Amino acid sequence: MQPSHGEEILSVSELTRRIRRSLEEEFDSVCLVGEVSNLRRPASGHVYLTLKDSGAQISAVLWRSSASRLRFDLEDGMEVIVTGALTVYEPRGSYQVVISSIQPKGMGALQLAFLQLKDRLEKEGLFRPEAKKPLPFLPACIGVVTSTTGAAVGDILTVLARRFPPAHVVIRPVRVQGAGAAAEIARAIAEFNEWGGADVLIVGRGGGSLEDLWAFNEEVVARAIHASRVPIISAVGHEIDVTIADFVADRRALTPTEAAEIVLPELAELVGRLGELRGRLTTALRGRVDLARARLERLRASYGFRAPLETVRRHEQRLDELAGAAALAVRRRVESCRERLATAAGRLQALGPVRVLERGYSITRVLESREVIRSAGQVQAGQAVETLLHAGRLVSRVETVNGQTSVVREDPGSPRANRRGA
Amino acid sequence: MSFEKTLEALEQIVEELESGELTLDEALERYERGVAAHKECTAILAAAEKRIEVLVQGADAKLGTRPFEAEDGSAREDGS
Repeated sequence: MQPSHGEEILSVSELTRRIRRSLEEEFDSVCLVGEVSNLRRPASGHVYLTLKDSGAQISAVLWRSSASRLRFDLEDGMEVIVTGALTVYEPRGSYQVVISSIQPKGMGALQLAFLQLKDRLEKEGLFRPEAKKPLPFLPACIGVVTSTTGAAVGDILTVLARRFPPAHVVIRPVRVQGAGAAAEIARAIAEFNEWGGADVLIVGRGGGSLEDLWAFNEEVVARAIHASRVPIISAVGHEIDVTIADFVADRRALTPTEAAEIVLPELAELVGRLGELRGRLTTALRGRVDLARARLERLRASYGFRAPLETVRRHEQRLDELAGAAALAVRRRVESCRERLATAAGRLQALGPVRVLERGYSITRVLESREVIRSAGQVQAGQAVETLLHAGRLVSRVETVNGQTSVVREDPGSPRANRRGA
Repeated sequence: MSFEKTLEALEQIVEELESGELTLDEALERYERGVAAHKECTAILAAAEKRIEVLVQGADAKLGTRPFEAEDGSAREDGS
């Protein structure tokens, strides 16, 4: 074929080079939006993809160095905004965009990375509540993983000194931001586990930008927290900052200050509680003893317990009564005897000689022998006799003794005759 | 037994004693245990000793601690 109008004949390479120069000059910096498709990640580390929209598509490449800086995972179907330069791949005569930066459409790269990792770790079960270890109530030693140049360490130490002055704290200084920070944090957590001296760890830092806090959103930190046998309290930034570390940790503190409040109880409060319990213990026991004593007292005062004593008293009373009755009976007996005696005495008296004498009889006795004279023969004339009268006595001398009847010459003046011999 | 467990035991003993449902023997036994628990808790608190140290790796690659000295905060990495 003859070239017309004397036009320059170009080699394929030459033309391609010209196209390339032209494209690269005109599109040395483009910013375009599209959907990721046909994503490929060969072993070289470069990432190849096709960006498309409803009407067209264009090849794109992310060289290894750019790909490693990518925070989030590219996925097919993802809407992205890329910045890059157009170039031509000469061996195939194709043009492509060399991507210098890529952003998810609608949100920041970090935000997407955060969501992606959160989603992945959650599916893996790293956030499961049942995987969370309980915090010790009174840790003997608290490990702290943070920067010693930041505010967090000061906040933690200040709060601990106030709440629990004798707290034992071991700090493992780490960088908390910048390249390598996440690895350092992860290593520090592993070291605390290896050392074994701390009962609980506080891992965190003070507030900062999302970029500053990024180390706590990295997978290596999440894995280290999850692998830790020592319970971990995460304490990253301020209340509004939520990191992956917060989800994996056994307990999330909103701030480093709050972590220090969570990790140890207030000593003064504990001492007060112990004192109060001690008081209640003693009071309760005293109450119980008082109760027992009162019950004992009630029993002692009860009828059943008093009964034996009552019986004794009753017997004693009965005895007293009997004694009284006995005395009375004796007295009555004596009285009755005395009465009978008096009666007998009365009757005796009535039958006695005195009353006979009253009636005019008399008793004559031999004066000397006091022998009662019952017959005349007992005496002889001239013998002295004594005659007892009701009132007084006579002494006389026998004149004559006359057989059966004796006539006694009475002394002159005595009209009475002894009519009957006694 | 840990401080928390001992403290919980003490609280339970006090509640049992306060319930008034124990026999005198039981009450005395609880009281003795309560006093022992209180003593133990108090001893644990008294044994705590203030120490602030830094975890370091020794020459023999073993991890140990040395006293902590607060560093100058002028080069703070975080802004809070």
